[in-house]
Amino acid sequence: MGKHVRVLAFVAVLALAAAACGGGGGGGGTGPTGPTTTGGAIKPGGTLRAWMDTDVTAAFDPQKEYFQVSFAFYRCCLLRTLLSYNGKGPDQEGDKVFPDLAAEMPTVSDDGLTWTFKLKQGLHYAPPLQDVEITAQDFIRAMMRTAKPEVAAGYSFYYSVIEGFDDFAAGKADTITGMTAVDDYTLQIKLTQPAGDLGYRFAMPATAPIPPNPADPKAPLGVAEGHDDDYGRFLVASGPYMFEGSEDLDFSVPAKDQEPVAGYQPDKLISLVRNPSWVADDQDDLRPAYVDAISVEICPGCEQEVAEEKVANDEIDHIFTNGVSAQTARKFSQDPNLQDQYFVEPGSGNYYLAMNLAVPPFDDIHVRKAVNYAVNKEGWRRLSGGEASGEIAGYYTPPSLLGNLLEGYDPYATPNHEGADSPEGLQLAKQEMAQSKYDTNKDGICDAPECKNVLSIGVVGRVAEAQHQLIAQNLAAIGIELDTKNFDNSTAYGKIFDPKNHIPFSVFAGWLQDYPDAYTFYFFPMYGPSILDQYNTNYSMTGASPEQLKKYGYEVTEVPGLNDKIDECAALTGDARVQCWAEAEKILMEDVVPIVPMIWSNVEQIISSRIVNYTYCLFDNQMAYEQVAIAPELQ
Amino acid sequence: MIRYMIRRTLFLVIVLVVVSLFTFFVFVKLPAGDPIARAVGRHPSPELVAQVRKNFGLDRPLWVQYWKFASGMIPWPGLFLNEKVYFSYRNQTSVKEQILDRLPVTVALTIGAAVLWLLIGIPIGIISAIRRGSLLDRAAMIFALIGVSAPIFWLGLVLLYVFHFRLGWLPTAGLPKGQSVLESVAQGYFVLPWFSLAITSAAFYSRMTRGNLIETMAEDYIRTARAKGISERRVIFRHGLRAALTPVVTMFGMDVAFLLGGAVITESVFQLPGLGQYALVSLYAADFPAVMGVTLLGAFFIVVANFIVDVLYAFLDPRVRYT
Repeated sequence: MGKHVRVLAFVAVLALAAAACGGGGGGGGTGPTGPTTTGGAIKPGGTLRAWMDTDVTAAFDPQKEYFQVSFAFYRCCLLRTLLSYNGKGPDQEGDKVFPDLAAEMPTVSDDGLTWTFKLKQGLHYAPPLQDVEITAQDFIRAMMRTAKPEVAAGYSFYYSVIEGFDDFAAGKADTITGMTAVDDYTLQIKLTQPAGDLGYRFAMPATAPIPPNPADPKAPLGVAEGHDDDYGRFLVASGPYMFEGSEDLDFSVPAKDQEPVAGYQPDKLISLVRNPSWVADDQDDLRPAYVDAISVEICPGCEQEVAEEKVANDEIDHIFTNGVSAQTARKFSQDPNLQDQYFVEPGSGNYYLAMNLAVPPFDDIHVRKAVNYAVNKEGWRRLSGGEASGEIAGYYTPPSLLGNLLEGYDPYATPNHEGADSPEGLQLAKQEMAQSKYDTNKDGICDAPECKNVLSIGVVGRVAEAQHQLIAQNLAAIGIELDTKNFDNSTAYGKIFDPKNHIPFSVFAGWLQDYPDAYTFYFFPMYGPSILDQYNTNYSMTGASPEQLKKYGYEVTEVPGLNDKIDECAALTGDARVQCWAEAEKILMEDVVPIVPMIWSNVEQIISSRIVNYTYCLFDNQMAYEQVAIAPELQ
Repeated sequence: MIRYMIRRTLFLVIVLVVVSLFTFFVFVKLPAGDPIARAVGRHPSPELVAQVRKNFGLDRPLWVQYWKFASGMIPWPGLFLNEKVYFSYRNQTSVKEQILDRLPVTVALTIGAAVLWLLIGIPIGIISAIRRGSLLDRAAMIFALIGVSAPIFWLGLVLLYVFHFRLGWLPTAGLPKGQSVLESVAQGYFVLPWFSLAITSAAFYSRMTRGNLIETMAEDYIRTARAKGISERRVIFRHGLRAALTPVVTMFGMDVAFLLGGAVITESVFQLPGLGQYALVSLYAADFPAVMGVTLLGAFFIVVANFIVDVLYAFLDPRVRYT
């Protein structure tokens, strides 16, 4: 049974009931867009009750988890890192990192290769290790676990810049030579090349300290020793909360005989309680941590619409996800009693159409530019659900990651973003196409055989298929005839992940930040050296070398790229770095043009009326659980 | 009887082997998803891909992979659903632990619903059969028609919306934290799921009972019984119903066994953490060990239910003997 069928059924039920009850007319207009906090008296206490329809991806193993939802739980609640975020939105420095376990921002040597972190003193882990102080060696232990091949960490590539990291991973060294605990409270990190965003990388959960095992002080990975597959269920917290039952963890027995925490039951429950070791105020000024406990029901595969109704009914407080059903969004945005419980937030992600630079006709920049002019972005967004689904993108990287330096920049703007569906847009597209070698008679319509039956990969689903058809119709107006094929997600990705498949065009690509720096948008999909044999996400082959093109069997021998610019930006810090990324963006959009940017996605959130001080975290794109409180009268 | 038991046990083993082979073939040779893709993140090095493949045991020859799963079917400590083999790709937990944790929810859902549909369906079927053509019969058959036609997910959502969200008479979807399944049953959390699941089956059972009973009541031996002067009530319940229920018992055994393998839709609508929900999510995530575990359990339930039904036949129908 298709999920949309079930959704429609529930919608029908709601509509029926509303009609039967003589539901009054909606207030009209849309819900509040943008505010990141709501007011109300704040009093610590109460239990925050949440729901999510999917579990985390690796049972809370901080090295393996590579998922925004788990990042959110770590950041708000479970794990502190050297640097971290304030849990707020774009207008409140939510995209910056601040000292967390570090006492201050790190000092960086002039050559950018040595970073020194000073740690706060006197901080301890959660029970049962409440007597163990957090020290510099614990961060090295976390990095060793990140490098260890058997653990199969999710994003260890971010730490390859640390001297000796790769050697340790390859078993050539016993330690990571570039990481030194100068003393208990000083950590020095040496890099092989400058990485201006290292601060962000040390705000990722994989870098959170792993405590030593008091019962086995020599264990290289401390309490994580023997838990290569399942450390998440034995996690020792350093944040304001811990898994319920953490105090019962017993690290004195062999790993295989240890009982996991009761507060995390995969696919069922996350139950967090206060960590008695956590010290507020001067030791953690990032997390007020108002609520006493957080209880999250995990219900994989369940009807989200039922959970949304429970939020409206105040039975649960929040749904931990990236969106709500269209019916619920309408209900919350139009009902005066619910409007202040509905939020549309920037999502730190984008959607784009990918053109393969190594496959004709997309090897011609004029064709790629013509496609940019031709696509009706407004129509595409309307099919996605309208304005709430995102802001129409004039370029690739979300504006906040470029310091909003490119405000108003849209090199392929058409009236109302309607592309070839507007006369002016069609004219612009044809003018561009006329300059292409594939338009032999220069009438603005591609007439070369390369423009016939161009394979275009999409995904199944009512909305996605309609969007695919719209794009096909737009491109047909300039002579590009798409052979549209829609597959389930897994199959579709399987096709575009393999550079040997030579997929010319795909219409379902999107990207999401790992941390608020444009590097995470460029390093994977736009950087030639990142092209992989399997699971490749540079679908356009941007910046591929002639050797790579030959290796993957392309006839085109050269494609444009901006590898040097990416290398240049990656080494910079501060404002110069942001400026550099903005310049890279213009190169990407005007000289390379591997994509058609569609939208910068939004995140819709609904909350119960119990929540006060609603705050949205730009890093993990979720409500910040450590910032919100329960209304005193409802605790 | 002993020979019969041995034969049925062998049959059980063969069914499980065939099912496991089929499941293995479908998932390994015709995979709908890629478990590696989910586990390796967005930019996996070839070394990471190889490591995860090794961690999942997917680097071994096919027959070795199959044998590892097959040995997990052997009901012997250390082998049965061995935690090293039946270890979820998706959430790094033991499949056995998950199944044992979820089984009580599915059992409670199934038993409650089964009792309900029998209590509703069979009496309606009997009344319709003996009052054939009456207003009651017509009303009962309209109920049956609606019940059979109503999709479970729709019915579940309607019941939930009306009886919880609008009227507040019955508890919400989901189970309260920290309570046993029995406590949840006692607090009424299963009432709506039971009815949602039972109404369709009750409708079907009532039609089946009615049809069988009408047919049976036309048999010669029923006429003979009446000719002997046996009371009509005794004719219906002792002679007629007993034979009419034989196919119902067959169906009941299969239905219960099927549901024990997971009532996917009902668990999904009512947010019950049962086996069906587990199977569904595992399927979506190409979590082969979990799918294999649940599939084998489902097959086991069906074979055992068949066996129980066969035994019950002999009690219901004296002509049946164990051969």
